[in-house]
Amino acid sequence: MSTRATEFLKRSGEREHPLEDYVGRVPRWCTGCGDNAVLAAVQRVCREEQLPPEKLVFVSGIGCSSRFPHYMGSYGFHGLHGRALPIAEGIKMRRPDLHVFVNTGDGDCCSIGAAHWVHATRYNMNLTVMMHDNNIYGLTKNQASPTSPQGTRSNTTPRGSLLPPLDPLQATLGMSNLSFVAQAADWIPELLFQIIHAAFKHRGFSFIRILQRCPEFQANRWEPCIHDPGKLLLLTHENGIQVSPALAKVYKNIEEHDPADLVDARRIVGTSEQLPVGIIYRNPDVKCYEDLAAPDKLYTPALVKQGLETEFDKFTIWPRD
Amino acid sequence: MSAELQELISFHLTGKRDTTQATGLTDADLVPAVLAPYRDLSRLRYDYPLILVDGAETPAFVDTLSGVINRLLRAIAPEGNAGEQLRQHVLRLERRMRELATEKPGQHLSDLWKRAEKSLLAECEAGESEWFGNSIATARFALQVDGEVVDCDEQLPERLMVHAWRRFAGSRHDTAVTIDDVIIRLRNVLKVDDLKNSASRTPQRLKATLGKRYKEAFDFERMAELLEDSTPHNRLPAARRDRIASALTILESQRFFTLVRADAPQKALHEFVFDSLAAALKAYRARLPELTDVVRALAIAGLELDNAWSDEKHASFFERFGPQALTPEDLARFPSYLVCLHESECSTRDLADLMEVVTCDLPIKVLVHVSDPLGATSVAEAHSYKGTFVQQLVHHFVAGEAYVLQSPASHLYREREQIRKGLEFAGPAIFSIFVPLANARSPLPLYLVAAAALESRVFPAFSYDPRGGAGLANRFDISCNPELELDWPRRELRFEDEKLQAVVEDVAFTAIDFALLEPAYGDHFALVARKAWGEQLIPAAEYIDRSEAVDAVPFVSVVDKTNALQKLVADEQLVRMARRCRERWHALQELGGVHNSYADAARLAAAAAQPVPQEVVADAAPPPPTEEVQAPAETGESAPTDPDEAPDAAEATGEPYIETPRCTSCDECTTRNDRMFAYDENKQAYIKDPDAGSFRELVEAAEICQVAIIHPGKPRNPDEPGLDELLERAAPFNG
Repeated sequence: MSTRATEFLKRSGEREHPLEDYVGRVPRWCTGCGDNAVLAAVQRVCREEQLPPEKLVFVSGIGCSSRFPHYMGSYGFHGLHGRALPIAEGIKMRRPDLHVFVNTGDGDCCSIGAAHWVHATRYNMNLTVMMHDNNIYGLTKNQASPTSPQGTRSNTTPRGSLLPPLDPLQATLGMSNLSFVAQAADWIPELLFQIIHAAFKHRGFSFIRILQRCPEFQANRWEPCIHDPGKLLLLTHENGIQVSPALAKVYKNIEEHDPADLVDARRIVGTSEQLPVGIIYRNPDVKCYEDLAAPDKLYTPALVKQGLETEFDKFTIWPRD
Repeated sequence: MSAELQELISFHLTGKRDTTQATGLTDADLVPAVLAPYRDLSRLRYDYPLILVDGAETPAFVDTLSGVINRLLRAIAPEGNAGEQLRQHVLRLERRMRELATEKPGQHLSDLWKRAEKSLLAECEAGESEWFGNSIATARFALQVDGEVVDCDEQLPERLMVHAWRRFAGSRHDTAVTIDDVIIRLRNVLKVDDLKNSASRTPQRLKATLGKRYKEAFDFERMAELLEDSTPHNRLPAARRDRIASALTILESQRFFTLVRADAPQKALHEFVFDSLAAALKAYRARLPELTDVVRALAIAGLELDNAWSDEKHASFFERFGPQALTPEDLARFPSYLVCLHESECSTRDLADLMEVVTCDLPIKVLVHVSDPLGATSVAEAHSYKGTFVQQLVHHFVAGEAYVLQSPASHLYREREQIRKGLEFAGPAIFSIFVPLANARSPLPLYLVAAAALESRVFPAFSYDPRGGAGLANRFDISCNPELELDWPRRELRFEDEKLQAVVEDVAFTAIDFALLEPAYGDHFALVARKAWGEQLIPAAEYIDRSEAVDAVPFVSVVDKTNALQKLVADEQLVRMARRCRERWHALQELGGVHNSYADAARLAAAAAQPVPQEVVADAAPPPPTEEVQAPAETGESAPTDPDEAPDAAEATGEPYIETPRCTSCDECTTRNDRMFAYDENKQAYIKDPDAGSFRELVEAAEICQVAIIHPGKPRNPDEPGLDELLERAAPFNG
């Protein structure tokens, strides 16, 4: 609670945060890496929303994407492989006042972290999750990931991967209690910014699959899409993204899609020949777990001690007087 | 003119009787005819008794016994015959509870239930008691509500308002919880700071922290030495610590709220319920410095906990922070004051204080208990009926900022939402409630007399909510009154004539009918002998509307204790009183948007105006279709990569450029030459200085750029080696 005096004084004391306030260490990603585009877009979102850097947390697992927290001028948690989501959920539960972002990759999220991914979606905690999907294990130097296209040659699949890839969008759209799914391409910064921004503003588990370039190990993976805009399908709607006239001149495949329509979302993701870019599904009415499970009292040390003593007293053997 | 009529007219004009043909009221059991069927309320289910619901969790603060029973039966009694026995048993219990509530007011519903059940079980015949007991036990299990049961009596207004005030305006539970939280957090800040103190790491202190079990397991002297080296030395500055400690002391010692979790020994809380405005105002003024201190402490605590305190910005502000800086929002977070007054005991000083409360926007709620809406104590001036002083107040303050509610006690349950709004209103609120004084001679229950006051427009119900919206249409509400369009509500009167035939008449219930219920007005009525009934007696409502003198007298229909219809003539003073009452009602109607004189005048003027015939203009040509204005081709960084598009200005001049909005910030070009390529404020690349590098670097950057947004243009140095090859390589990127 603030009295009016406090609100007024806080506003008068607030300082504007330029982009530099969100800049951490110099990125060590390869030049041309799509992670740089994601980093720039996220920093712009933070500046747009004027988020206090001390209220930001970036949580990651292991992978190139997971270097992200080091390069943001905010709090960060570089965790274990596949465990970004449970760590982020724990942070959010304990400190609901913080803005928690998750940077994970196709291996970190869809392979070792898949179980967490399913249940984190179901919990619908207010997190912004960016899955940097470059279709390869890049940090460990070229192993096939669950999203690598069939036939990908890598260190672990020298004759080409045998299985068709996992489609993260189809998988997510099949999970329960879903509230936000989007797909972005790192080489379209305008839409990348819009989608991350929309994901941040959505209250709930916002999952973005970012098609990310890896110039080192998947140099040609997205080349056809970068140079042939016809391979992408832009999803626009008044409740989704808006395409500027300049972008509309380049990307001719534009479809009006209501993000509230789950059936249509599944159709687009499952049958479209082009890669959809935009907000695929959004449901703002799904309740967040932290709201459902919020304790109604402050867990002070005294209260915890009282609770423990009450429980221990049940087993205490009292001396006979 | 017959002698009887002459006598009646004389009485009507003078109020004095000469002969016994127009007799005064000797029968105290005469009641207005329309109210006669309701004399015995014990057989009716109506809004009373009320239950003042316990517990802050339930949404409703008041309920009716009949409402509770109805919901209970809907929940537990199956429809149709299967649930009929259960329904009958529970309704029987309700009737007994109603009787017991009247005998002994102030019981809790649960206690009343037990007493009623016990008394009914004692009356049950053998074999019936088990069935009855089971039904009542089933209903009792489903009962979710408890609270004090109150009937419509003289104590009702104060009981109800104090109960409602405690729920909505007296506790301010949310502020109490906030102060609790702030205290705990401030204590934590100081505790953490203390732990950084060397004194917290003395061997004795460390030993005490670890507890008895491990006191022999450690060398605490050595532990203290080790911890001293690793101790953080970033303690709070002394000024900041003092500021936090001072705010904490003020919040712990405040007397406005009960702290639940902060576990602070509290002094006795302030009292907020008073029986005089002077006392309430005195208390308010005396506590204002303390309230200001709490608001200041909360503001400082908020800034400190958010780490937003700045000496330059805040220190001088808070040094000067005083009561003049308090806003209505600040005051709204604290309990308001409740003053219970009786209108008959209000002095001139009270009225002056009330004006001060209203005009100064003070958070004081005033309950005015009205027991004499006609002002019967000054009967001689009955013709100058002014309405209650609250009614007069609202006319003066309709544009003001005080919440006003007037209602007879009979309609308090229906006005519960308005009561809640008034108590939650941040500023002053006045509640004017009419409950007649208990009168052993009164033939009607107090509830009915109160309802009659509303019906007769003597004590109409209205509310004024300054926060209701713009304009009176949103703020002023008279919807609780019956038949808003009419001067007097009309009711059916069914009776038998001399030939025992059923007759139904539509009669109006006027202020004169209500006056019959006030013992002080008894001498203003005269009983008319049956033989004198004739055309010279006209209904009071009709007589009131007549402005010219007529050879007739006004009468009201009444019923005596044998249930026989009688007629009473009213004198001219009562007629004048009724006319004034009607005028006051008209004024309220206008405020409430009924028969708005401005709207009526505008409607009449519009109806009187002659309509102008419209001629169709057939020869006007349709306007020519507008031509679309083609937008000029976009230039600069937003140019598309489609080579078929027209070259932009930069391309036309051969200057190198980057489509900056499409830059993916991949560092390729900036790594290559950070003097030529730089990031803008959006961390997207642009050509900072085309002369800071060679044309070769531009071409290589264009080739390496994955999204192909670098356009090298034409070479700036014609002597640069390998230009032919470079131009050939640059061609695809130059469009």
